[in-house]
Amino acid sequence: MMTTEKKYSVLFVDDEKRILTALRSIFRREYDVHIANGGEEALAILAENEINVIVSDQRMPNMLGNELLAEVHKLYPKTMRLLLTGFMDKEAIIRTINEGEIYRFINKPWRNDEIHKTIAEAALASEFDVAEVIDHQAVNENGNTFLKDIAGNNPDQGIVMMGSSQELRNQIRQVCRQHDINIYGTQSIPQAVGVVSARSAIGVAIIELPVNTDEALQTISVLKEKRPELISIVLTNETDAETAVELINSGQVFRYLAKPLENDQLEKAIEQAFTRHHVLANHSGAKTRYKVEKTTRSITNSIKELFSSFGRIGKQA
Amino acid sequence: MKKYLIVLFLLISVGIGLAYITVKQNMLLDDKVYLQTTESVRNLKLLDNQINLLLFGIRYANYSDYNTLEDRAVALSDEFDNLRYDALFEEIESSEALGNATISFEKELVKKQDHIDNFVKNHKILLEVNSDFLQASDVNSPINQIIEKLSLRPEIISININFYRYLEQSNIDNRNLLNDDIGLIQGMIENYSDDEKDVVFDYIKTLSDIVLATEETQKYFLRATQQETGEKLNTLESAYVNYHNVLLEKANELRNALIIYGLVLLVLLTFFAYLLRRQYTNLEQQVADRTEEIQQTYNDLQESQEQLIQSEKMASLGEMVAGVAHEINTPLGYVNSNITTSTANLGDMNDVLTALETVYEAARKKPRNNKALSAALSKTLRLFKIVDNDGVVEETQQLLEDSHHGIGEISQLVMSLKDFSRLDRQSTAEVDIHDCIDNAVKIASNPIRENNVTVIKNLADLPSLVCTPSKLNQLFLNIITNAAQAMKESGGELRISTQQQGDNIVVAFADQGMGMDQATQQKIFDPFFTSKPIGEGTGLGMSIAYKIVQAHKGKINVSSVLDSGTTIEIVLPLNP
Repeated sequence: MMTTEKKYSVLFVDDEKRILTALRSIFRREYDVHIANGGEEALAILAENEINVIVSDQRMPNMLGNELLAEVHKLYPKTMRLLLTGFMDKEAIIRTINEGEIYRFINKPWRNDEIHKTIAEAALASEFDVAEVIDHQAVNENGNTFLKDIAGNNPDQGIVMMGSSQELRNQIRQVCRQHDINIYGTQSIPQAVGVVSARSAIGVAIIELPVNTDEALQTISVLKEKRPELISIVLTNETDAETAVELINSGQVFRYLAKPLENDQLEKAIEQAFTRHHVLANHSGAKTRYKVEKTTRSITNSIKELFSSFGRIGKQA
Repeated sequence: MKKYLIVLFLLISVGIGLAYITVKQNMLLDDKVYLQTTESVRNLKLLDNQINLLLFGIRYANYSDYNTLEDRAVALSDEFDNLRYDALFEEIESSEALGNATISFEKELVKKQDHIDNFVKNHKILLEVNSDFLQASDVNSPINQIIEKLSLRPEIISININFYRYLEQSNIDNRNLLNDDIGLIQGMIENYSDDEKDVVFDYIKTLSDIVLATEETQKYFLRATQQETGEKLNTLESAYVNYHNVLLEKANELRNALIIYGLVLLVLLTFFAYLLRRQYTNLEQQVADRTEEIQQTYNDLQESQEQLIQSEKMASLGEMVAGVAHEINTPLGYVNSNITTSTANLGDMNDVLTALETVYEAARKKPRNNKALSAALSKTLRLFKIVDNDGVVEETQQLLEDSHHGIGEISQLVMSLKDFSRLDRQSTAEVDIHDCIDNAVKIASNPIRENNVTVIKNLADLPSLVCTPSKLNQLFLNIITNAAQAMKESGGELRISTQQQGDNIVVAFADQGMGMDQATQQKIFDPFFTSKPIGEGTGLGMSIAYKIVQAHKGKINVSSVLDSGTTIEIVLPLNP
């Protein structure tokens, strides 16, 4: 038993008080635990206290979990956001990724040791000051100038693109040409991995999910693990809750979007991805904030082989 | 098909045209007109002949029946007028030849009438002078006395002879002979007294008057009798006959045309009949084929309807399972977590107990080591304080209480699931309908919670109902789910009320959802009708509800107001 000083504060939000009791019992020893019965109460607590990690249930009366987390993302960007979900709310999960920039999904029912570990990582990651990121995003949202800065300052900056749909590739090319971004179009995982391992200047990966989702997920996960500053935007025909959870938890995917996309929608996503990449590349500590879980899937041999081009990967896996 | 229609149309037009012309032609060819005309002409001829005969009679037989003659002449005129203005009026108008013939007959007739009038007039004069002549022939007449007195007998006899000769044969020679005789007598009587001369002259004048009257009479007689009325009548008759023949010929042509038309029609109809017959044979085949196709489609449809109903069941089952899974997930989440935490807490408490045991060991140890005992005691106390400060015992108690509650929730859910499907019971049973409602509400707790719905029950004391509970559960679940979804996240109240009305139980579900317009309400029980977005409903929910109510011999009523809510009322008979 050690009674260290409680360094981090956690806020649990759920309308079921027994869940709150259970969670508080798990974390009360190491964390400063706050609990809230709903969204409004949570926001009130956030206003009064500095909260490192917020864990919210999705289904609550009056304010849904994704709505709360989006609000928190806006008001308290430094607070790490986690969503408690039962795989039931596809729409909410996707929105949480794209609007709440969520750190992790926690599945119900949880395992105490796992949730413990996840919260610990989140708390650690919350130490990184995101003020800079937010500044850049603010510039972006207001003046749309940031992309030009990137291109101007880093002429090597590029996108790797993986996907089989010709139409989409053309659309992305068009957007990139407008912003002087180098684009490396590939049509398969091996090609994409090849491009990423050969060039360090690539900041954003746009991945169109193929039919074989598993392999792509593994690729994204390993890519993120090895190159934390690489930002991924995943495009798909049909969003899916389970894939989304995995994309976040194992790939820290930046955006998960359903096709077809409007040009400005795509442009905005690319801009924001580059902003994020820029921060990550220049602040080593920031990478913690967007760390991924080791994928729970068994990595296939072919993927392992591919990543041996990174040098040390083979040994670790 | 269009071709046949055109042909048929043409045939009908030709038929109507021909029939019209024929009728018109037959009206012209009236038998009455023909009979009237021929009779009229015959009468005219007869009258003309009679008139001629009368003329002969008057002229040569001293048969002076002028009245009869006039009667006949008037009759002739009448008859002609009949012919002209009645029987043949239209025909004369339309046929030039007939018109000309009529006109020329009329001219002859008019002349003949004139001649007859003159003839009659002169004949009367002739009769008068003849009577004078007869008086003169008397033995005691002045002329005979003078003849005796003057001995003129031979001359007078000669005059008389020549007079009669001339009357018999009125030529120039005989006339000259008579004139010579008259001249002779005039010469012979120059020396006689004036009285005697007058008598002779009177006699001679009588003779010459007779000659003159006879001549005039003869002239008009000849003219009258020689007037070509008969011939003109013949011309008129033949003109009419011609005219009639032409009409007859036309009628015959038309008849022939009609016959030909009939034949053509017959041939075409036969052809059509043949075509129809052939098509009918085809049609029978086609109908058989189509029937088979329809049967096939019907079978397919029935199959796919069954599949759809099955998939509706699966869909609502899936939704139900998902909801139930979520319901179970929450208690399961904290029960699971609580057990782990409680285990950890027990570990903490175990530490205290273990430490307590060392105290006990230290206390029992002889000789007593006070130092060790106090160390053990203080360690135990320290551990206990941690546990106590943290409220580990209370917390564990709370966690276990919660877990108990959670397990209770889960088992309740499982119970209602079991009740809901009634897999362990017979299909028909006597149940409290409120149990069914409670089950359905429980199972539908997912959409109810999701849409922020508050369920308010207003239940009456009801007798139990013989029904198929699993079906009623499904019915209520469908209605509650729809009601909850109608209140789309904005929430509202779902009022469920029951009451007994005579031999019926009435269950009403009133929501505060978006309601339905009239058109939607009418279709709500139609299979495959859904107001939900594509892919979210099979549109069979309410149609299945309807079937279930029907199977219970009940009624289901909908009343809805757009934007303010829907009430669904189910009336179930207690003794179906």
